[in-house]
Amino acid sequence: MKQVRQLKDPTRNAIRNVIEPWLSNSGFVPAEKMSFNRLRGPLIDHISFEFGRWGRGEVIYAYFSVHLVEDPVTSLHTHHAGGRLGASWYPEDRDACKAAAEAMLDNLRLSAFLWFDEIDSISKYEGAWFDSGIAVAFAAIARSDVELARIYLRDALARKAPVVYSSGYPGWRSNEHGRSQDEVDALTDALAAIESGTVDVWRRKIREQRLNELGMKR
Amino acid sequence: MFSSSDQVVGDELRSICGDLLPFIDATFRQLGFSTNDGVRFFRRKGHLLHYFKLVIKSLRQGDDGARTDGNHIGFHFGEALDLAPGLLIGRGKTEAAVVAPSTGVYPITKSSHFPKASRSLCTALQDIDQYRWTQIQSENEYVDFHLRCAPSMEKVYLLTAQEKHDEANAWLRLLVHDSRALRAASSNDNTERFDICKDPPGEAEATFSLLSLPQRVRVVEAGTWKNIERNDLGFLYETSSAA
Repeated sequence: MKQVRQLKDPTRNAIRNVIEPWLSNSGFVPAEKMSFNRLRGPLIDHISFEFGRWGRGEVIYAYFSVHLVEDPVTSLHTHHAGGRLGASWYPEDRDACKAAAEAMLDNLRLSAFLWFDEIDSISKYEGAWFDSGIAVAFAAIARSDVELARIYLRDALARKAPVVYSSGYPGWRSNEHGRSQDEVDALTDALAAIESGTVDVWRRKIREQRLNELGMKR
Repeated sequence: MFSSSDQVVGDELRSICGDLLPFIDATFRQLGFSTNDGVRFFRRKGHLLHYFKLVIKSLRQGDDGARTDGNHIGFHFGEALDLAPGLLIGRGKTEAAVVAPSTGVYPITKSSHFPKASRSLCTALQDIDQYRWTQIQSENEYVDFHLRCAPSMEKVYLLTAQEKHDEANAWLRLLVHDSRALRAASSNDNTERFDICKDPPGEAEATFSLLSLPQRVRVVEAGTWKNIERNDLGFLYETSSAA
């Protein structure tokens, strides 16, 4: 049997020796701190762990979500197409931490993995994001439906931020679209690729960028 | 914001607004607003409506910063499309269908308050016109401001009315998507387990998607006239200059 190194910190020990091996066996690759990703065709499954306080006790949160590889805008930290599990955590007690981590894995199996199985296509992903013009634009590109993508991207770029508040007086925004300049640039870039007929080049570039960022070079 | 609970409504509202009208009428008309009840004022451009509705609230000293007991006047304001499904602007006691922003309130506890209150109302309206409505002057600017980046029947109806059927279909297909609003939802009873849920399309969305293009245009036109009737806005459509 493989000798497992026991870490002094009970939390790190439970993550390293209970959660990581199990996720690794399921095809997940560790990314930034306590965050794991799995490539599934055009989709990325994402699981990350965070800690917080609830009353006098500590809590572990597991976030799970599905993302589109070829989407340069939507953050992996958005769990709109996903959810969050929470459970008590005992950072002073090594055995209790391991038991809590094992219980968390059971819950992940019953919830997160059920969700990953459910979102088995770009169409299901699009349904989960049906109310976001940006997410459905990139889903349309991933389905090679450039006409639909063109409509959604033009619409997203035409959006004006509510530069007047409900009081009727003007507000102050970084730009008229009310979103970060990086997002505006990414949307403009995708639309330009569609208009110039170079959308396949754009897709390869975005896929490569995303996988490089996640340490999943292929 | 006003709460509807202690608002003055009905004949009393119309009576007080009628007393105030000589002070404010010229400014309102100058900005292009017209009214058929002296309470709700509208300006129309195509399907776009700019509106405000005078509201009188009975306040006690100290409520919402009021310095005197008695009636205070202000107005709700906003913009809407006359073809929006189920449009309801300022009809009845509550503002259920359109959640409109509102101005501050000005005391009108005695007739000597009327000139100052009316000056404040006119200034507020001129400011709102200058800062807000100069940016929302057309149907498309309304869409830019309110409806971009998400599907809605209001958007689908407008695109249909504008005969942009490809765009209307692009948004309608999201509203009737097989996996619409697919999500992992936990219940309050058990936050450690998730159920897979969807939000199926409403009857209006599903029915509309099955219609031919001419039928869709007719549904939008019929809905618009129903809105006009329900909101008693016929007077806006009688003069050719408004269109």
